[in-house]
Amino acid sequence: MDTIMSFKVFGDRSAKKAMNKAVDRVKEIEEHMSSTYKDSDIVKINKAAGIEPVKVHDDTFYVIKKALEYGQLSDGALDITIKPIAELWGITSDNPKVPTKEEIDEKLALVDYRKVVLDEENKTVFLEEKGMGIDLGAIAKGFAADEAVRILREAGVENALLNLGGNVITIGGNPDGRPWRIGIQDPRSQETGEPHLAIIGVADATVVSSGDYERYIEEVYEKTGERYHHIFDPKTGYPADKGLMASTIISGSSIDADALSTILFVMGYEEGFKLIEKLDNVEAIAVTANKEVYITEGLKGSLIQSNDNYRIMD
Amino acid sequence: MIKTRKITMLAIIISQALVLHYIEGFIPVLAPGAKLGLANIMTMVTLALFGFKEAMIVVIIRSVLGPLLGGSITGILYSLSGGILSGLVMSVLYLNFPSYFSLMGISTAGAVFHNIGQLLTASWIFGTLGILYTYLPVLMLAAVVTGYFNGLVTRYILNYLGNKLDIKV
Amino acid sequence: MIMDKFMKPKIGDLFIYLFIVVLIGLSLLGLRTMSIDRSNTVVQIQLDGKVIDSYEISQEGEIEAREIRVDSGQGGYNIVRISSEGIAVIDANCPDKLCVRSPNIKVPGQSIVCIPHKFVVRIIGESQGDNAVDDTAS
Repeated sequence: MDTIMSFKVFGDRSAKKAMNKAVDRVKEIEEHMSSTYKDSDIVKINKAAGIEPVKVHDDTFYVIKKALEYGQLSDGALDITIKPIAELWGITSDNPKVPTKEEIDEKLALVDYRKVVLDEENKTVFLEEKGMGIDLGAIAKGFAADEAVRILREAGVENALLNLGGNVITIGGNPDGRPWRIGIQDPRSQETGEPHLAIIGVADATVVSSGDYERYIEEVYEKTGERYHHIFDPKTGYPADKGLMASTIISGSSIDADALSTILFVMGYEEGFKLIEKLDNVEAIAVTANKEVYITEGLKGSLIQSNDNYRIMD
Repeated sequence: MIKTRKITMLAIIISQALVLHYIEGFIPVLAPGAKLGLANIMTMVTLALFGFKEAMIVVIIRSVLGPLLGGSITGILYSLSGGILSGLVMSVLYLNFPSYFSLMGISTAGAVFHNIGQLLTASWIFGTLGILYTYLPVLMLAAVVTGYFNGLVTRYILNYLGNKLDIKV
Repeated sequence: MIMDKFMKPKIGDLFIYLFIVVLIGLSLLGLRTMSIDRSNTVVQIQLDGKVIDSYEISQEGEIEAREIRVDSGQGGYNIVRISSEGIAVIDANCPDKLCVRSPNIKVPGQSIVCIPHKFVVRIIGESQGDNAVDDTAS
């Protein structure tokens, strides 16, 4: 996980120190939760699957615990034990493929967030079955962002705009008095040529988008138009296809925004919005395959449409 | 010189200027809109053979047709400003003070003002004099080299015309 | 021929060269005293040829000083500072640090490059008007 990030921090020279401290913290978190870095907690946990519990850093423990809570809240739409399925498809690797139903069913048996055992006292994590694996990709960036914000706020920073691998996090608004203007990515920007479909003003909030446009098997898409993307439905083992091209969450908490954007995409607009309307401090945008844009109550009137290819449903 | 001959010569000169303009386009650009000014060789030649009026006609036609043939409209602005300014300066020096300047010097002055004209246009388009300040130094140095070269080529052309075509220079 | 007389350097030539030197001097002076240009100024940050960040310098009022840190992957970073004195790279962990030593840029067309990090920060001269965004969630 070598996230490309950009930090825009307003303030005097002391802001630079805080900024560097925040970046160091983000890198530290990346190291602990990386799926590839050989000394990361995650790699150790996966290696010991079915064998023994592994002691991890407090950060990692916290994030896994939160992820399991989300698993429960979403009834399995977010499941960090999705790794065997993700590896089978290999969408982010050099050799992606479309597996057979048998291959998928075999790996699907290993996907179950309830089979992750946490020991709060000893801070250990244990995967019950051999072959299980966890991946914190859907949630680690959110945690890292919250930490970065915490460090910056503690240093007295009042205005900042951070971008961690595509997640946009804001502290305060634009120093000129207006909120930060954040574009919502157009999921089909390659076809429409437009970078974003709408603009929203935010202050002290995080904006996270997930979609079927980020990573998918290109050869298959080019031949058949079928998109096999990287956000899997943990119940079926196939890329989620509840009708959405993209989902966006706006929330005061980055870890929530990160997790919920995946959850909304997997659950689809109807079920997803039912869940989100129950939560505090969370707003959402769902873009369907028919180019309709659904938004939660709190966003009504706040979206500036920037692209004629979509219809904002009110 | 009889009229037909003059018109023919001017036509040839203009076409040469257009070719020079085209070739210049392949040289990487140092500043927005800035060209070396090789076409000014023909301006100088026209000045020496015919005079101010004819030189300016050559400049204007070359500045409009050249960029147009290359497909650029803003190019016309740049070429006109550079060409006219340098044409005026070269005319004044050549016609009024010939004993004080060498051919190379006049061509250099032409190249310098050619670039100044182009930078002023760029500054106007971008809305800031900063363009002028930033790029002038490097273009000045290029102008010295280009000017010298232009002067040499002008001399060769005029020699050739004097010898082979029996034209008084 | 008369042309040959023209080939010798003359006194006027000296004037032309002096004139050029004066112009260069004035330009450098002008550049030094200029503050950052804010008409239609957009600052763009590119990594490996792709624009990853771009925003406008506000037209009126004070320009708030701000610092931007860009991590280009594999541990590399550059820190850019924007203020009324222009845009500068104030810190980076590349081996040559040429970017840090480059002078401030203030004018559209200028840029500061960090080749080891494939990082470019430059000023371009067009603003996007109403559809300008500070960033895009992607």
